[in-house]
Amino acid sequence: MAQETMTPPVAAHPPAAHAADHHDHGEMQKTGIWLFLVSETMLFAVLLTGYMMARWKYAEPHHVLNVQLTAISTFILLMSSFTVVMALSSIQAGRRVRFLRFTALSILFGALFVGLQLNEYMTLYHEGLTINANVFGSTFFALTGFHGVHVIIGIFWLLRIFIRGFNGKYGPDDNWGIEMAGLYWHFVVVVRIFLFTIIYLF
Amino acid sequence: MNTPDTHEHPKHESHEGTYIGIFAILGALTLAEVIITYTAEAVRYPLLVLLMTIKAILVVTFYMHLRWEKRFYIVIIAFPMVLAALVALAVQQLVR
Repeated sequence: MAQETMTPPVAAHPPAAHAADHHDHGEMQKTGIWLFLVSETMLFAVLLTGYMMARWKYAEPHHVLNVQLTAISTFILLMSSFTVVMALSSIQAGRRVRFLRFTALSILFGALFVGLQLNEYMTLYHEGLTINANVFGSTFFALTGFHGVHVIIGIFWLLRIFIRGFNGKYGPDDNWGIEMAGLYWHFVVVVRIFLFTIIYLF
Repeated sequence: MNTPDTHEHPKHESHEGTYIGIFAILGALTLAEVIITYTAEAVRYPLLVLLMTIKAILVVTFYMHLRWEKRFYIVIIAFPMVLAALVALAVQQLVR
């Protein structure tokens, strides 16, 4: 009789609890990546301040910079930000093929940006502007090079997301990894917005 | 490919219309920035700083989802922005 009134044994990890754990873990990851981006903001702020100080103090010429080409490369990076956010939106809607297409496009745009930056570096090198040519060269290459490395890291991160997505690792309720990579990528784009205006347009 | 690409999951609210609108604004602002470089210095710099700030805020607010996040994240990101602006202002004073 006593056995009849007993409640059925509770599973060690019921689905609802598992989902809540997963969500908490995701929120922790998100807080972590935001804090990381905060430290990155300060890092770029210091590099950018160093560049501005050198530009104003020594009035180094920067007429060698190609504004039109960098406007195009900046726009390409802005497009990649759009495709990354669309990729996340796609997987949240359960549209995995669309997610893969947008992720692939983002990788392509990122690679195109890096290619254009390398092309710019080669042109500047031939015109005599190198990292040790003058203060402008040092701060310019340190700043844009550091940003370029961030883009390259982002490309590898997106490649990992693409491969995992291709293997069916993500879904409408499991896409924290994509959101984290997206946050990083958008941050890199925000930094480019600042660099483009301050370095090339000022 | 385990999941079909056909059926929609209504659980997550879609903001795709907003994303497309923001992308159009970002493109227009970038073009405006390039055009502004041909204007007089007196208006060029304030306008460029304004457009740059608007573009950054748009990406952070909509693409990084700060618009739909908890206030905690807004505080986290606002703090270094204020600090970075103070550093830039301090350097400007030093250089003068």
